[in-house]
Amino acid sequence: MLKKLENYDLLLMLMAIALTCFGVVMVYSSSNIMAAKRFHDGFFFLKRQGLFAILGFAIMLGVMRIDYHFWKKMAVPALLLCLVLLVMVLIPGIGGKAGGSSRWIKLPGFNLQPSEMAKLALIMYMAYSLDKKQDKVKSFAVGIVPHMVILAILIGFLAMQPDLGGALTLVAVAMTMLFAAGTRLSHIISMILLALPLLAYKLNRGYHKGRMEAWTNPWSDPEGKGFQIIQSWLALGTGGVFGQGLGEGKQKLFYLPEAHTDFILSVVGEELGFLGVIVIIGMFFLLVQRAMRISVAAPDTFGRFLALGIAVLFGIEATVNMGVVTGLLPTKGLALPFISYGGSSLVISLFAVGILLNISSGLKIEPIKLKEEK
Amino acid sequence: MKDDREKWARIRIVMIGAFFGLLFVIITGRAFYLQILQHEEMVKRADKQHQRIVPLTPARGAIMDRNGTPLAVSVEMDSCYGEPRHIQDVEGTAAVLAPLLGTPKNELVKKLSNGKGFVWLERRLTPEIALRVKNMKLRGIGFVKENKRFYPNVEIASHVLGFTGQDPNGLEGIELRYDSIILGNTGYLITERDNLGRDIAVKSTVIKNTSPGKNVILTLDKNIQYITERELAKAVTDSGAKNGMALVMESDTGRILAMANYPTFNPNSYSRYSQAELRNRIVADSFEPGSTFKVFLIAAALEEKIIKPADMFNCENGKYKVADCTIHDTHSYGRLTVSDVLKYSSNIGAAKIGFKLGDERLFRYLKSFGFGDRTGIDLPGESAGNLRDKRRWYGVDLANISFGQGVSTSAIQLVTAISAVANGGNLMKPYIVDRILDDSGQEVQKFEPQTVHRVISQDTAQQMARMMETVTTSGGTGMNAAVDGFRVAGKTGTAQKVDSVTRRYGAKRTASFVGFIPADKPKLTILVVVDEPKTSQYGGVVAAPAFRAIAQNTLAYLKVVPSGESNRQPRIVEAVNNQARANLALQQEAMSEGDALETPADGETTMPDFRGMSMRRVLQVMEKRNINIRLLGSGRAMEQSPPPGHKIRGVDEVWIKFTPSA
Repeated sequence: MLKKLENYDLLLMLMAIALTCFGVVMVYSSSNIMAAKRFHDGFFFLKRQGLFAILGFAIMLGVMRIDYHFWKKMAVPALLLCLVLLVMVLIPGIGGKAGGSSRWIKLPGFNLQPSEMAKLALIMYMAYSLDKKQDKVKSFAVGIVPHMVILAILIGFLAMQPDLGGALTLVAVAMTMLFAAGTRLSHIISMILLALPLLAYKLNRGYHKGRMEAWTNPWSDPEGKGFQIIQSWLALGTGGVFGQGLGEGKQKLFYLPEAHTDFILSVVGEELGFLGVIVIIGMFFLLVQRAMRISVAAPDTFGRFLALGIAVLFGIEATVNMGVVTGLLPTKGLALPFISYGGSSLVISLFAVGILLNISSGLKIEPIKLKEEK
Repeated sequence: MKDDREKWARIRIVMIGAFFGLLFVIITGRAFYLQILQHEEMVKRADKQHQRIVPLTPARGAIMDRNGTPLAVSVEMDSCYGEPRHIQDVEGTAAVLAPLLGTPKNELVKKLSNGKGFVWLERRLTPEIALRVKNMKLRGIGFVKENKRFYPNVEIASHVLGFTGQDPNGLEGIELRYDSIILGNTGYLITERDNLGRDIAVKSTVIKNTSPGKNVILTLDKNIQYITERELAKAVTDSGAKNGMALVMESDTGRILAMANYPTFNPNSYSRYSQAELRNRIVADSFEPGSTFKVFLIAAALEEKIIKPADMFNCENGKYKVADCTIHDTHSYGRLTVSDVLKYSSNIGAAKIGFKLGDERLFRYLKSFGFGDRTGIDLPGESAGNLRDKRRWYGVDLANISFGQGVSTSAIQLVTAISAVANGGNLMKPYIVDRILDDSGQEVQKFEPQTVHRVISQDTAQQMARMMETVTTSGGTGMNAAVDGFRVAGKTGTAQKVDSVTRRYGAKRTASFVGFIPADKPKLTILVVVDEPKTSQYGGVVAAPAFRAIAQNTLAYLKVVPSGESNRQPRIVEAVNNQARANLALQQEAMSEGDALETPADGETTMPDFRGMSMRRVLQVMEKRNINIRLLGSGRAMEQSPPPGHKIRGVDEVWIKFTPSA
């Protein structure tokens, strides 16, 4: 039953492993002083991220060997499980609070972040549903409405945390999958137009309002609302071409909030320079392109949409995070997949890579040859 | 229909892929703009941050002797900085500061008007100056505590301790070897302005060193070190020699109790000395040992049962031709027993024993005694000495090596090898760090004696000890090493030095004495090496008296009771030891001279109130009163044992606990 390693898309696997390892190093570099100060252990985050990486690799290698059609059967149960967890997060005492939002379920030893699981569950469900409906997706009642209901429930829970970044990610992934499945563009656009007033209302209130102002004109309040993005620019800018050297960055010390999570790319930019940033961007580009290829070449509709959903998820998370860090987008609270500190995100991402690898194993797409054939 | 749909799905997926490709390109462009095009602008802006992060010199842990007496400590001193953007009257400020800081006014003006957020003005000021500047309460001038390395005993054990550079890293000795353990993490000073910018109220925060350096406890004993340095200095200056080395090792364990080089240096101002003066020659240099090597030759021959102590060798009346060379003895002897070959140090006798033993076995035993290999002592820059492989021994080499020519050894190798004879045959790994304590005084690591291997049997070792005792008896070459009330085993060495110009043996000598005491139950192995003595060139004349003085004073200090037996005529032993103790007390008094502190009328017996004092102040007071203490932590003294006013005598342990000031 076990397939040979070269049947899998090894370049994809390599990118996932390389990004994860790079992330472990950067998590350490960006967190050690803060961790030493806060936990009296400079290795606090390194140890945890290292363990999550090992766990994630094991899961990836395991999932890789599970026939992806299994997830068709799991789609609905997974979605239901996520809904339960998302409800639990909101219950005081179970959910963990941080920075005004409750996103975690406290478990012994670690915190579970259901919104990360919800992303994958939605993708599985959408792939399952689009596969089942086939040609009927063009009709509004069958193609749009059921998905929108599920989506609305999910983003409703996420908005209550609040996790607007996560909610928008779900919307973007779902819309892109519908677009690929052949849903009329007019339907998609009208849905977005319908949602706009709601979004505008949300963005104009307290927590998010500040973030919008900070984005449109950070220099109006450089030590207040604009602080984070300006510090991110300074970190990137002082890095120059080659950077200050690994571990030599100063912005991470106290200026750059969340240096080891959302703004880890700023630390990469400061310490490893433009070259380091290009390498990261390049690896993400390759990762997304390989996933898209798997989607295009997938043997059936379910595999195609499953692969597409994962590719889009990685693509959106990476580009949005990078957009935020470079100031192209307002601050979202979105982690950089594989790199940022966070166990749930890393394990789920590697889980998703495992699914992609399994789909790739049935294909004849430029298999990487380990040995030259003569 | 289905194929058509699949085709369109693929096309749409490719479009999505292309869209993401475009996004990555945009982000790359943005990164290029920020990191390359805006680089200089951003560097300028980062420099002008309202907040400013300045790395501070981390504290180093203390180095202490085995009784907890500090030998190297970090002392907190005030460093003065300016925040130019908060200074309105630059000229005036500079004018006031210039005389105090000893910096020209125009230089200060330049520093203070550069528009930066932060500039160091003078680091590690003396407390008096710092206080005067602080009292002026100048706007935009701030202070932060930084650490400076301080060696309270000045030159004592300087070559062992080493020193630190301008940056806080260790450059030599223990400071270098244990740098990563001693050095704490870098701390940071964060200066910031009132966030709303209403007023330029400067406040600064210090992010403390997250993990202070650990303390290193040596096996050295400051008092034995002092005795050794004093006697070595006397031996070198009295004989008009170039320099000298002395070592005291615990025979059974390989612990170094004292390690002295002469001349010494002051690690508080190491930059005034040449590289040669700073080198710990005991581990870093090797020399031709000469006759002390006969001990290992005879030990090997005894172990191999080729000879017995009473066997006779014809010493050819002082001249003996080997190959095309002639070997000479200082005095001419006829037939000598093996024991007498050692006692009178006959080269000819040694050569003949060497021939009997053969090059293969001699080489094997010398190697086994540790020659030609580093001992692995925990000090940097160790030399391996030079013991050529026996395949490269030619002509007269076997004879020469038998009496210690044509080979070289470091002082630490020699004393370690003699200790193997002293302790019954085990080669020990020498070591100088006993344990490591964290900043709260908790032990984190303890080093135990390590046996490398057995070299000779207990029997052979005892026979050697008895033969080496004859060296210090009447008529032996080492009579001057005899100590009243104790049996001394030892061996003299007077080695010709190779002239660096002619590459042949010249007139210069290395005089040495190595031995152990008490001979029947050895505690200490002591080596004294005097390089190029002028008044006399013999180890028995130049080095042996220093051996005796070190041994006598150290045993008295360690309260080792004389056995009553002696190689010399026993005298009134108790009186001598009392005399030695009195001497020691006097010397310790002398060591603390120059201290401005007054000694209170009630003498040295009660514990002063240290609470609230800085570590430096505590050291000064302790030094004056000659109290051995344990210093725990850093900062200001908070707790002490015994409490103020209590008697110190009879208390097991005196300690003071320091807590960083908030």
